Amino acid sequence: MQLAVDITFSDHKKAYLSAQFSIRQEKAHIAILFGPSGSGKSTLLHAVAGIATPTAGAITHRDTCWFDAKRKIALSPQARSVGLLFQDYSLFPHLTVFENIAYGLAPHVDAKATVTEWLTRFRLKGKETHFPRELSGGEQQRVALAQTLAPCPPLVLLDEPFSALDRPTRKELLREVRKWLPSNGISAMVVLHNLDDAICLGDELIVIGEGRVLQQGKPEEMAYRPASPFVAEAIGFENLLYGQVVSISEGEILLMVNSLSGSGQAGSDKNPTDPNRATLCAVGSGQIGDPYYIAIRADDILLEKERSGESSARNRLFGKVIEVTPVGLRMAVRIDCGFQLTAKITKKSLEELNLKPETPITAVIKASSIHLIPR
Amino acid sequence: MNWIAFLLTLKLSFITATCLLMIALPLSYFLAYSSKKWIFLLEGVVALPLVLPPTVLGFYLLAAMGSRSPFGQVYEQMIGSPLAFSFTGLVIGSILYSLPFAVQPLCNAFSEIDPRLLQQSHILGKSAWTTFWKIIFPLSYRGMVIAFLLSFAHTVGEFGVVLMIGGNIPGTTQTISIALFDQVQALDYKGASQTALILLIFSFFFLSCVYFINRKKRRWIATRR
Repeated sequence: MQLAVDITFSDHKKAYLSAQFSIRQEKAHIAILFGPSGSGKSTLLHAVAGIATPTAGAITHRDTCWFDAKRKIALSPQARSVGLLFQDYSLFPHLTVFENIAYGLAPHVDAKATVTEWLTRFRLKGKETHFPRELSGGEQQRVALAQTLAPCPPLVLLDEPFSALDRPTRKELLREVRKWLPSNGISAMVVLHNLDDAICLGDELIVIGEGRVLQQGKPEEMAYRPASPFVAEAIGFENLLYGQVVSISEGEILLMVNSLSGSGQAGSDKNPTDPNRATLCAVGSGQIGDPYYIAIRADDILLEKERSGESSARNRLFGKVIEVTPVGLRMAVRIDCGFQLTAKITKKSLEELNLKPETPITAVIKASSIHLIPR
Repeated sequence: MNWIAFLLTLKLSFITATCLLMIALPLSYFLAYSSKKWIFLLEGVVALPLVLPPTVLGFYLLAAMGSRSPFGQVYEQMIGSPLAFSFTGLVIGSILYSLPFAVQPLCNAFSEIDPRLLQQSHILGKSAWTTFWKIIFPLSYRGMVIAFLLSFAHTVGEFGVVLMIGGNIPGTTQTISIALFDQVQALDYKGASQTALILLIFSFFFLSCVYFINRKKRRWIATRR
């Protein structure tokens, strides 16, 4: 066991963050902390680093107790030998890039060689005599990351390490870090907001929300089997519905849908036996009447204008467009088909389909794209 | 112009400002970074000389230094001469009187440092002592210079406390502000106007230095090129 954390933060005797998790792998394991802002991810990192004091609980690293509220043990940050990258990366403003990166190096280490290596790795060559103020935000973040990693602590805590970087630089740095950490036997806890980055970098995902750890597991596993609607939402399922099993047949179940946000669009006035209205077909098994959360990615919903098109997809839902909003380079189309769904399509598709509010539309969803979470 | 009093004032101010820097550094560090609940009381005590009439401070100091007080007696037995009406007594009085002028700029300078920088330094394995010299000192260096200049200038302008505990002994405890008072008392207006002008220019010079340092930009806090 590398790290065992079981801590609670309270304010006026009311616990606002209570986290239990562990990193079992002895070496070179990357755990991603995932969750909405304000959920306490940074506070957790600070507690592990020793600059935030939990109200109760304990933190153990390998065989050393770092923190124990009962036994009144709280090791100083110096004694823990971790690396921490703050969310908005604070560099020493009066030190040059070189001095900043070399700051945490042990005296016997060849500072010049080590710093040069990091300057090359993070494309900062030629910036060594600059002060942080003279760098761009992305350059500052890379210097801060180099400063944190250069001393090679056995555990590094990175709070949104790529937030200030443009996309190509982020991808490149992600690859560098993905390569460098394991090859030096270093474990990491990384706060990330982007699921793609998390899946690319992490061996494990720890989802935090509602003041606790909600789920811990392999990223791919979690992307397909979220344990709660909160996790589903946190890892990017745009559509979250609630339904009950109404019929079962040959590995498929039919669910009657009620929208979670539920303001009357949930087909309550519709005929419940009409298979085209407010029902979804999913892969799974269960009992009639079982309640489920239903999570669907916007990417997994196809939009068609033809009402009668034949395909293998089990769900063909007829409805109309409510609104169209741009999301990055693509468009989010909100539709009403007895309940509301959001689909994502490209701008070109939008033009070709000529979608406007009130346009009739068919949403096509494969049964296997519908993820069920028991309630 | 009373040069003896002038030189004595410079000597007193220099010694006071130097001692104050050494006392105020740890004191301000404690005030700025301690999370103790009673810290406001200490802040109040440090700031007292700002509002207290100098004569009140002088009176208590005189009572504490006098031959009848335990402290005065111990000092007299160890050194052989009384503390009151001596140059050493004057230094002690000046230190207390100018304390807030050294502590305030230092506290400001310390509290302007992003606490995450200190945490980062600790996490990178540096002790509180190394962190002080490598991070806090360079980042609050200007505050230290200002603290020195202000306490120096304030000691030059001291009157009430010196009058109470100094006793106006020429060459020992007679400072320039007291000499000026004497000149006026003796109706020596020509000498008095000279002394007053020198004090005015002197104080103006020091304060301009303080504000110059405050405004001076350094490369690492200058705006991005």
